[in-house]
Amino acid sequence: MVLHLARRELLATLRSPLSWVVAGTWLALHGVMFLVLVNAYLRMTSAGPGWETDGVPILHGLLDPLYSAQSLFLLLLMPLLTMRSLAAEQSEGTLPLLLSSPVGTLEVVLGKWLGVMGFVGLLFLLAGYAPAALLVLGDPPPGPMLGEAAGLFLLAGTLAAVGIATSSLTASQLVAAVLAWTFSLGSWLLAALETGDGLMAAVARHASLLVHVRSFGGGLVRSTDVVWLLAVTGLFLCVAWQRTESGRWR
Amino acid sequence: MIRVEGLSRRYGELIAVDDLSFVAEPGRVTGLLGPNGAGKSTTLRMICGCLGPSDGRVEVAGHDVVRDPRTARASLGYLPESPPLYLDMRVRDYVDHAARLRRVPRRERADAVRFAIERSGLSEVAHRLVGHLSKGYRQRVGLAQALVHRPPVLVLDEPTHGLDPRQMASMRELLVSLKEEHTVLLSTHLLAEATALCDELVILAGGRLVAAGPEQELRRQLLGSSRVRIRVRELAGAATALASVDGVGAVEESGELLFVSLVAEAGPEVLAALNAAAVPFGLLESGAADTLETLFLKAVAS
Repeated sequence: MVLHLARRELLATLRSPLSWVVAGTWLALHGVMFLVLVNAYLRMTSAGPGWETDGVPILHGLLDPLYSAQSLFLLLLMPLLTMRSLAAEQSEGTLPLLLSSPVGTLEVVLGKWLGVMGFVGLLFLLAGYAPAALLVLGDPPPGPMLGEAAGLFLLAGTLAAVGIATSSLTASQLVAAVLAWTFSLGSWLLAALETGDGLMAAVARHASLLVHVRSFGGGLVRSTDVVWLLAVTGLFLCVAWQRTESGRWR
Repeated sequence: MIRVEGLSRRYGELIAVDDLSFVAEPGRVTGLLGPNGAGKSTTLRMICGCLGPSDGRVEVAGHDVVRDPRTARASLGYLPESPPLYLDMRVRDYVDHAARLRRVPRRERADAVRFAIERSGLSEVAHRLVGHLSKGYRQRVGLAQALVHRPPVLVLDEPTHGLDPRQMASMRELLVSLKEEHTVLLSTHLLAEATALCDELVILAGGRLVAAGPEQELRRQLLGSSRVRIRVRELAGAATALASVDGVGAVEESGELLFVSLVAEAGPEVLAALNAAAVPFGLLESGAADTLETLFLKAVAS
């Protein structure tokens, strides 16, 4: 049932013009950023092809900045992909079909999440030209590349859960998106406070989504970060589940 | 069968449904009748498991909707007032989606979808996008999703709402035919629809039960007396002759006319009594003393 609901969500996302605008924006931003960074890296190494032999390691010169930029793009664009999910079911009056069927609301929420992740997976495939080009033209280290891909996917998963949770809170897609952006922005600001010794810095180190995602950039997949991201994903999916279920009693 | 016992729903201070009990029997169309805001939709949403009751219980096909929700929900098809349609889907895909949600086994699914599409009169538009259909067809698509798993119980919230007269007539025909296979519970605020479609009526006002029973019986109770206007030459003689007839109630004089209230069955005896008293008369007009509508409004107002 979860897979069927995920398929339905994915098809609905594919049929939505907004999804393609988001996909186009993300791919365009990603492409421009990739070209700018490659260009900057080539100038830094001032050597053209064969850059990996020069002084600036490709990891810090190209892969890390690209990873940071993509994290930010996800923070900005994921709320647009998820704002429809449960808010539209409420505003368009289709929720009674799900609530009156022998289907659990947890299955509904998981189906929505998997559907969004299916679309994100498709986007990642489309953006796969960048690592493919690097692999063809140079010799980038595969570990960090895989780590970054995993980090981005986990980040997308967490943001999808946050977005689905906010869209369960309201029938307005706009309100759902704004709430999810508030989370994204908060996470971004919190990450900026990370440096230093104070209490805020300690809170930032533990609570900011971006801080937990950052370590993947160096190809370091720490189990604590993975568990943290999965736990936050689970927490927000539970919020969406309980909020939808409690709708029967409000 | 649907059994509702002591059902209540409160929203803070507001009591939307108050201690409601009734039974909808298989093979009959039961109509939940009441003005807007009477608690009809709230009651139906509680029966379908979309809304939890504050008090009381609901059984659908023998299953408690709170204690055994999945089995209860699998036993019913629900058409809300606004059909829960995904406008981006084709009709056949949408009905197939509903069949999957209702856990129709894979081997039976194609047949179930075909059956629901044919039964709802959607064969011609099965390949079209739901969003491109007229209001009448959309309502039928809503009905198709409700009956695709052939549930023993169908719950329909204002199924003819917003349809034009032609669509309404064809939808009513379809709804009456459904009672052969399903227990049908529908809501309406239209009296004509209730009397045309329903075998049993449950009348609600302000969330409370006003009257319930077979449609014919309620009609007899509510339309117990007819009012007959008779032109006579000898008012006094006629009034005396009619006073002794069983079934005749008030007799009022007005000029050359007598207004006589009587139960419908007493008509022949009235004529016989006037003939026996040799009072010349001409029957001018007969009709219901009160329409069902006025009596309904009185019941609701009280």
